[in-house]
Amino acid sequence: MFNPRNPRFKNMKRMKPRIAVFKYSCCAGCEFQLIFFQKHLLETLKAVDVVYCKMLKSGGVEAGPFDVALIEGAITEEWQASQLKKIREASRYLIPIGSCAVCGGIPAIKNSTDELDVEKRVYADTAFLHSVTAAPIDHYVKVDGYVKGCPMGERDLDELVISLLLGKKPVFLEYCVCVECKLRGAICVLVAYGEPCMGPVTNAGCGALCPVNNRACYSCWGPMRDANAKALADQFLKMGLRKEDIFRKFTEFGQPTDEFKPGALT
Amino acid sequence: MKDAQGEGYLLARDDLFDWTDTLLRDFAVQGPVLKKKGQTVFERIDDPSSLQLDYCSTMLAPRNFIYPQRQEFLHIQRSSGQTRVVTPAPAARNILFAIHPCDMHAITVLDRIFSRDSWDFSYNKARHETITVVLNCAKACDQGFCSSMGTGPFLKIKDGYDVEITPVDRAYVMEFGSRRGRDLIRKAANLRRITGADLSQKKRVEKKAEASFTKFLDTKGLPELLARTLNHSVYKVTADTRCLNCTNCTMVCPTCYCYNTEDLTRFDLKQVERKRHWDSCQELNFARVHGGNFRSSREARLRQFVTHKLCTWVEQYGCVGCIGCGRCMTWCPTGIDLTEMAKEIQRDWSPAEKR
Repeated sequence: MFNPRNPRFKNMKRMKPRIAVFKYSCCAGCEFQLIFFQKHLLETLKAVDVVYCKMLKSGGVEAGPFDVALIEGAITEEWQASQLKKIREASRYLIPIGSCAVCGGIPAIKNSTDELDVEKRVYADTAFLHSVTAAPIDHYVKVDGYVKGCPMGERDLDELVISLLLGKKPVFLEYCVCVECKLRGAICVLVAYGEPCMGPVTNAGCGALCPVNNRACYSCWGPMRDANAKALADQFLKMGLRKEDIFRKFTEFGQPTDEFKPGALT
Repeated sequence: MKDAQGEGYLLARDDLFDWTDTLLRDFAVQGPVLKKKGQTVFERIDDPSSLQLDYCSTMLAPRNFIYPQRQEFLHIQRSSGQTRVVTPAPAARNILFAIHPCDMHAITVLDRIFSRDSWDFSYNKARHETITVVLNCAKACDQGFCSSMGTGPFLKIKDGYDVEITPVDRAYVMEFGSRRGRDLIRKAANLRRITGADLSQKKRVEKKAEASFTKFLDTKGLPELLARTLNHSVYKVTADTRCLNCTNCTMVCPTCYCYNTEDLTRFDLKQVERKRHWDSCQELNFARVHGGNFRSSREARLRQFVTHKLCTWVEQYGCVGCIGCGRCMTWCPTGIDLTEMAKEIQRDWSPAEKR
C-alpha cells in the first residue's frame, strides 16, 4: 500500500492515501463509527485524505480515483450494484465495512420472505422500486479484506488504518468468539447455563461482549470461515429450541452466506 | 522428602482458614471461589471464608496465573531518533491455593515444555514466583479419569510442588515438596507432627477416592495404536457431525501451550507492543504457512488434538499430554469425548486383529 514514510515517495506531492466511504442499504452506523473513531479521529484525519464521505463532508469526488474505498451496507437495489462496479474500477483497494457489507447483515433478513411481500409491507407505492435480493459486497465485486462487526469493530478498523499508514498487510481476526471468550476467562454460557449461544460459529473481534455478560452471542459479526453451523443447529435442537427459532438465529445475520445455510435449513 | 515419617504435619479443619488468613498477609492468594450456578473459578481471595474447597474442576485450569491468556513481552518506544525497549515488570508473588493434583501435574508438564527445548523467560519467571498448594481429591470429578492417566486423585509426583494437603477425618494432613513449602506450613498455629496412624488414614482416603471413578482409559499401547490409525473414520464422522472448531477444548486444557505473537502499533506510529496470547490448533489459520494451510480440514484439526495429547506428545516431551481432568469433554458444546474416541479406535483394533 501507499507508504508516506518510504523515501521513494519523498518528492511526490500527494502524500496522503485517498479514502472514500460509500453507503448502501444499512443504518449508517459504521460510517458514524468511522467518523467518531473513538480517540484516534485527529491522527486519522491528519494521515489520510477523505475525498468522499457523505456524513463527513458535502460534495466530494464520486468518480475517483481512490486508494481505499470503504463500502458499508448490503446491495439491495440495481443502481447500487452498477455504482459499486464503477467504484471497484476506480479504487486500488475496496474493503466492505460492517456486517451488512460483509455478510448481508440485517437487510438480508428479507431474503427469507418473498420480495413482493416485503416491498408491499414497507412501501405504499412500489412502482419506483427496483429491489433485488440483498447480497453482500463480495457477491458483485472482488474485495481486498473485510472489516467485520455491527458496527464494525475498533480493533479491525485500527488494524486497517495502521496497515495503510505503515504499508503492511492487515491481519484480521478469523477465529470464533469462543477464543476471545476464553481469553477473557468467561464461563461458557452455552455449556454452563444452557444459553443458545452462537459464539462457536461467529467471527471474533467484539471481545466476547455478550458471553462475558452472561448473555448468548447472537452472531452480529457474521459467520466465521469454515464454521460448522449444522452441528451447532443440531445441538440447539437437542437443547430444546424450536426449528423456527433456530432458523431465525441463523438468518438474523449472514442469511446469504454458505456458512450459515446448513444451520438455517436444519 | 514426601513419604518420610514425621516430615508432615496435621492441622485441624477449622485451623486451615486461620492458616489461609496468615498467608493472605504476605501473598496474593489465588483460590477456588464459588460463582453463580455452581461454577467455581480461580481468583484472588481477600477472605478465607470465600474459599470453596469442595469443588469439581474449574473451567480454566489455574495455569493462567503462570502462563496468562494475554501477555506483553516488549514495549518499543521511539522518540526524537532514539529507540527505547521496555520489558514489563514481573508479576507479584502468587500462591495457587487448593489446586487439584491433575492441575499440578499439568504445570509440571508445562515446565518441561517451557524449559527444556527453549527457555521461556516469562513463563519460568512466573513459575519461580508461584507457590503451589495442592489439595488432594477425596472423590472423583464427574468427567475425570486421572486415575487412568496416573495423575490423580492424589499427587503422584515427588517434586515441583510446594505443599500437599490431604483431607482426612476432621483434619488435614499437610506435607511439603520444597523448603519454601515447609516454611509456609510452619506459619500455621496448632500444628502437630503426623504419625503412622495419620498416614494409614491418608492411604484409606486415597483407596476410597480411587474406587469412586466412573471413567477410564486404557493407555497401554495407545500411542502406538493412534499412530497407526490416523485415517480412522471416527475423526471424520466426529468432525463432520459434532465438532464446531470452537477451540473450547484447547483453551480449557491445562497442558495446551501454543501461543500466537502479534505486534500492535499505536496510532502515532512511534510505539509498538509485542504481545502473545493463547492460540489453538482447532483454529483454521493455526496451520497456515507460506504456500498454504496444512490442516485446512476440520477432521485434520480434530485428529491433531487427539493424537497430540495421547500419542505424539510422548515422543516430543517424554510424557502423555493428557492429564485426565476431563475439561475438554465437559466444556465441549456438543460433548465430544476424547476417551470415547480413543476407545472406539481401540475397539476396532482388538488384539486379535492387530497385524
